[in-house]
Amino acid sequence: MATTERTKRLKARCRYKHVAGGEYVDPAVRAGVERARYVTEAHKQCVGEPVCMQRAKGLENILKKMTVHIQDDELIVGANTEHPDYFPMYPELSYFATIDMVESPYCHHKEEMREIAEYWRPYTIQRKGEAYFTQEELDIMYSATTVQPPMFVTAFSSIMPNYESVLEDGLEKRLEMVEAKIAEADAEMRQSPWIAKDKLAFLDKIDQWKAMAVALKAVMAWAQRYSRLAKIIAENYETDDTRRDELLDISDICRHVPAKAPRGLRDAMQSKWFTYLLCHSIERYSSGYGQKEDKILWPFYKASVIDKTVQPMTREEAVELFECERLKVSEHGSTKGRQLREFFAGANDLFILTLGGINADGSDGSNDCTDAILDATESIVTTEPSIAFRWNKSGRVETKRRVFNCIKTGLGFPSIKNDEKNTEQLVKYFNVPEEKAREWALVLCMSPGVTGRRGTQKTRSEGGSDLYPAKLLEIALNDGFDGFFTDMQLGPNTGDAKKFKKMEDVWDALKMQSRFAIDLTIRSKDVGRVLEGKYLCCPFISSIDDGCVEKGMDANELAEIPNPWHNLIGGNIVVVDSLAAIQKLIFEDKKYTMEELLTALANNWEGHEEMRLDFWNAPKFGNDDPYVDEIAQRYYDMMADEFKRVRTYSGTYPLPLGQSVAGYIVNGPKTGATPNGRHAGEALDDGGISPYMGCDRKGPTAVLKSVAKIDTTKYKGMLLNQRMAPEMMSSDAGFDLWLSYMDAWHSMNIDHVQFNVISSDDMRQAQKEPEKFPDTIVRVAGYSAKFIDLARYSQDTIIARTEHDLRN
Amino acid sequence: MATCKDCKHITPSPTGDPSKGVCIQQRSELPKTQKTTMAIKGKMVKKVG
Repeated sequence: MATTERTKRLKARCRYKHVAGGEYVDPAVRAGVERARYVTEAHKQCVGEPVCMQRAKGLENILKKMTVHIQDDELIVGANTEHPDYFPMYPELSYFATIDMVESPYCHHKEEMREIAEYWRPYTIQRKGEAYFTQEELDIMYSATTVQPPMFVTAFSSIMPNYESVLEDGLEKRLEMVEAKIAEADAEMRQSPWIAKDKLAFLDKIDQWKAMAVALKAVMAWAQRYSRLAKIIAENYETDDTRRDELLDISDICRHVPAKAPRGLRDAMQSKWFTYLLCHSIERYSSGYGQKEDKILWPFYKASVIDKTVQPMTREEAVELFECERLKVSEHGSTKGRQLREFFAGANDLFILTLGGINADGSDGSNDCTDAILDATESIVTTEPSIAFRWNKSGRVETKRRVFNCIKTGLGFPSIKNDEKNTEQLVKYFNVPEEKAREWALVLCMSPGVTGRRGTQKTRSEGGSDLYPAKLLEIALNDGFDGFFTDMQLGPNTGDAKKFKKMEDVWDALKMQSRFAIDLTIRSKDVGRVLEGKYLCCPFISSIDDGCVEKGMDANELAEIPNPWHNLIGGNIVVVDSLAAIQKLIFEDKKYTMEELLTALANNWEGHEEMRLDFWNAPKFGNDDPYVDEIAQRYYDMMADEFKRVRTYSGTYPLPLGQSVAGYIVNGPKTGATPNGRHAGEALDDGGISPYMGCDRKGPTAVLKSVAKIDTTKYKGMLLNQRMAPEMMSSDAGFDLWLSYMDAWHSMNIDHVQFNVISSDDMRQAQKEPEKFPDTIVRVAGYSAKFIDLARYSQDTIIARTEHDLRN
Repeated sequence: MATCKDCKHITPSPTGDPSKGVCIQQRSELPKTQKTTMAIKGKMVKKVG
């Protein structure tokens, strides 16, 4: 329960933007028009100017004119739209995503927004990107069957903002740095003798630095608007003395930050929130809540809460502030095309912050700030932001106990990532110095990226986007054709599977379908990356990255530290189990032929139930069965090798990442019957390496043993869902049993694990009487959702997961 | 919002193109051997009207 009356009130009136079945659950949610209006107005006034300056002036116009508001009880102020019920729109990104939203019930300014969408149509990243692909390629990608549609149509991105530079420097200092670079360049340009090759490069750099200066000034002026508003409310409207003092404090804080470095925790939290809004939502849209929060806030927490030297506050007040932060994130609205709204079933967006692990110097990264954040998480009970906890062998037990408490409560998070393994990945694959690698945080659900003053990930074109393996197997068995969902040729002709004579023929067809999809999706991502650098400059985001300021480059363009990955979403284990069944029943036991199998699949097993049960009962992953686990090893190695063939924008090959978001739900209905005994339209497996629902029958240790056989060092991450019995977790021995399990998990060098702790009975009861379960939360995949916000089909997939009891 | 021309039901549109949607009306109960209870046979459809 919320720890204070304030956070109780804030939670009671929190304006969640959760989505179910692609639609917002709260009928009050609307599409805000102001961001779109003011970015368009500025664009019309900036014809002929360099694109980076157009973008800077667009941001300036938004921040100057967008309505600002402060809600009752708020301690952290600032929003991305003109009204707390709204989410912003980005007409400069994708025409499809914009027009889909304009024609939805959420847009109440249809005429104006239609005009804005049409104005932007030729300028959008979508229009620019489509020029480099054939219609057939676009049709394949837009069908979202084998690959995710490209960023230039989804408008989806993710970012790890350089919070550290804002908190250490303040924006006034950043502006001084940028102005010094302009002065330095001006002087260089005028030095004699004139050497063109040395000097002309300064032209682009000067444009970038000037755009950064415009953006920095605009942001500082925007914060002053909040300062003035707080003061106006305090002096003219607020009747409660306590709240009046709070508003005057807020006014003082917004006068100070982000222009200057924070003094204490209240300043730091406000400065971080402003930075978040700008980088994730106002300058452009990017998903995520990527930050190592207990690292960046620790100096301010220590000064305010422990030493009480500046902005002194009690620990209880700090917990209240973290509760406020969680509610602020819960209320934050983002917009996406319908495909991605479906993908985040029950959620609004992906917000994942990172805690724990170790510091750059190798000392324990958990501290009392970590514990206060976890205490607030346990008390306020919100789905957002989710938390990833970096599990290090040396991490302190009192923090791990808090992690356990949150999981036991049923939040579904923190999810646990192997600290040492993820640090090693950044060092080994991306040449990150070990000290910097140790400060990693998750960019989105599962992938680690560096944090700090420079080199952080700025766009999802660097890392992200999806491949859908179950569909790849389906078309591999149908010569590249999809007769179930699209009636299209989705991949190359890889042969009539009825004539496959050996298991290698199946592997070869799957490999070639995967290869085609990988080439197509990575090409679309890199084309998008170039276009982002050219047309979607982000001067503010660039201004807070030391590398961008030093080099005079846009954040989208600079790839100082590569971090490429690509998701294998939902279906890895459907593929593995299917391959095992084919190998055993067709090519080894010779009980069936490929022709019989393909006939049965085409008929969705109808009239072939006995045969289906044979395939359903064939060896399944997750039971420590060497037969199927060896196939899993080969499958995961093969996919990693296929990604290794390509080189991305940032010069290296992407690591695959196994996870599912809600893709296992959305892509189930797009995928025909599969040889693992699954029916057409049935959900896929729910993780990157989670056993298929109900197929792990030999207990939790057998699951870990199967998972541990896979060489996940070749992967960016590998999501494992586990369901634990609530009565076991709540028992006196619950923590010790779980800690032993976690020690086993860690000793097997497994990448990730996360837990649902809720009984099937409770979930079924919540289906019957949803009004009695408003706060029941479940882990879907890389995020958690309110159970009652999920569609029935999605709820059933969570009930179907095997519940394990560590006492057995 | 996309509408399936065959069944006329409103459907979600989990594709990149808002003029195309997914008909998810055809549902089937699964046998007891499956831990999930429901399958949805999606079909990509063109928006009508």
